[in-house]
Amino acid sequence: MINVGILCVGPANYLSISNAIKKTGNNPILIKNSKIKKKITHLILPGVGSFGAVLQEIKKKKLLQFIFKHIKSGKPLLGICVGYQILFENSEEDPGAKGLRQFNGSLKNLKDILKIVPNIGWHKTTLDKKIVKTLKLPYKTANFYYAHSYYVDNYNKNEMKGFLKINKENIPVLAAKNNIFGVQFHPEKSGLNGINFLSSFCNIKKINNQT
Amino acid sequence: MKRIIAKLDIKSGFVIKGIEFEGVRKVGDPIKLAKKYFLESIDEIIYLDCVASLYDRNHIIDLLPKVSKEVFIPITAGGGIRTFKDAKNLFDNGADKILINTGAVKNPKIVKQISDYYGSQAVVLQLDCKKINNNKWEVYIDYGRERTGIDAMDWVKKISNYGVGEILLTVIDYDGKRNGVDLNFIKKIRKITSLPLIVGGGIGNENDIEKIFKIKDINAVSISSLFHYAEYTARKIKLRLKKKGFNLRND
Repeated sequence: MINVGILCVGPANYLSISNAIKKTGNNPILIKNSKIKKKITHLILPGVGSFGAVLQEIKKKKLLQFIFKHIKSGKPLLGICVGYQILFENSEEDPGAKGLRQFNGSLKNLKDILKIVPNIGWHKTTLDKKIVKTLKLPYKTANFYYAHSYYVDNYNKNEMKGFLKINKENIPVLAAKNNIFGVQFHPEKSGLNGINFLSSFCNIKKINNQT
Repeated sequence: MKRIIAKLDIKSGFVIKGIEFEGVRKVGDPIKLAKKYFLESIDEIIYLDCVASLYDRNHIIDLLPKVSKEVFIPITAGGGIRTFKDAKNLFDNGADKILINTGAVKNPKIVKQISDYYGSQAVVLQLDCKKINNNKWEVYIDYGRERTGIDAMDWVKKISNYGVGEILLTVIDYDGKRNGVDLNFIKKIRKITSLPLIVGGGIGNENDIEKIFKIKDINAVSISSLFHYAEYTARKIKLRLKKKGFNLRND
């Protein structure tokens, strides 16, 4: 059993993520401010609400350094939904806000490529062989639940390890680099596929040979 | 992928179901039913406290924390939301989205307040209406008890600007009869909004669902009576629809 930190910034559904982590047999630790008492090995950045608001809240609660320190130490980090989006450079949603810039790419409004927005519902998601191997996932494709209005554009192909297809559009929904992972879907709301995904994330060990 | 949602109407701790929103019968325990539907691969759960506005208290708040321990799919909760705080209470206890009707009609700004904070994907507009003629439907509030004089088309156009993420459509005259939905109404609403629509109110078998899913850009249905009373399980319906060529999750 490991301690999984869940960053409580903005209006995310912490209870759902916390319950999903419990379901994986691990111990969720809610992080509400920079005074973190327990030692955590894995960190989750959830996020509901807007790109700018989540980033602002992180800064207000003085958690930016905590996140960067966690990343630098090589411990695994997982961004979910807006928590995934803030790992990129910027977003049309809040043009002034600067993302955490762990991945290349900008968030654009789905209205440019889809007729019905927000994109709400389940999608078959195709995963890259490498990520399946890294996370030791029990599937190469899986149905996950999505609820979003923005998508990643101008991304670096090497960083994107999962896609969903709507109409003719291939939308990148899983980013991974060293110990940093991000998913547009909600694993905590994606049935057993989602629980398996979180379980795999919890099983990754600290990565020491960071470049 | 098409979505099949189970809608559980709650009254004093029990799942109930009526016909045209009246003559309600108790059908079971809200947590047990949600768990059962989850295991049958239902895609989402909607809980609606249909008397919350009468008693000024939403009973779903008590069951949400328990449900979210065992049911790992999106959960929408509604009933009696009049203020931002009412919505916050539901989110804090484990709701992923809220369902709002009366509160939105009485004060549309509430919708904006909620969606500005939680995002529009977390706000589902519950549109209950009655048919006046083939071109006109009137919005009803308070679980079908009060008429508003508002035209459904006008209402959808207006409220879309306040940050709604989805609309749940029910034509009350068809609800609970398991005789099919008002397809004409759905087609008309589909033309005037780009929001995702959830179609409920009257689905009686997979043929009714087929007719709905054949309308372009309709990807979700909400089902109550059919699951509560009938021999149908969600899995069985999904398998039958898959055979007809629809793309559905059956994990």
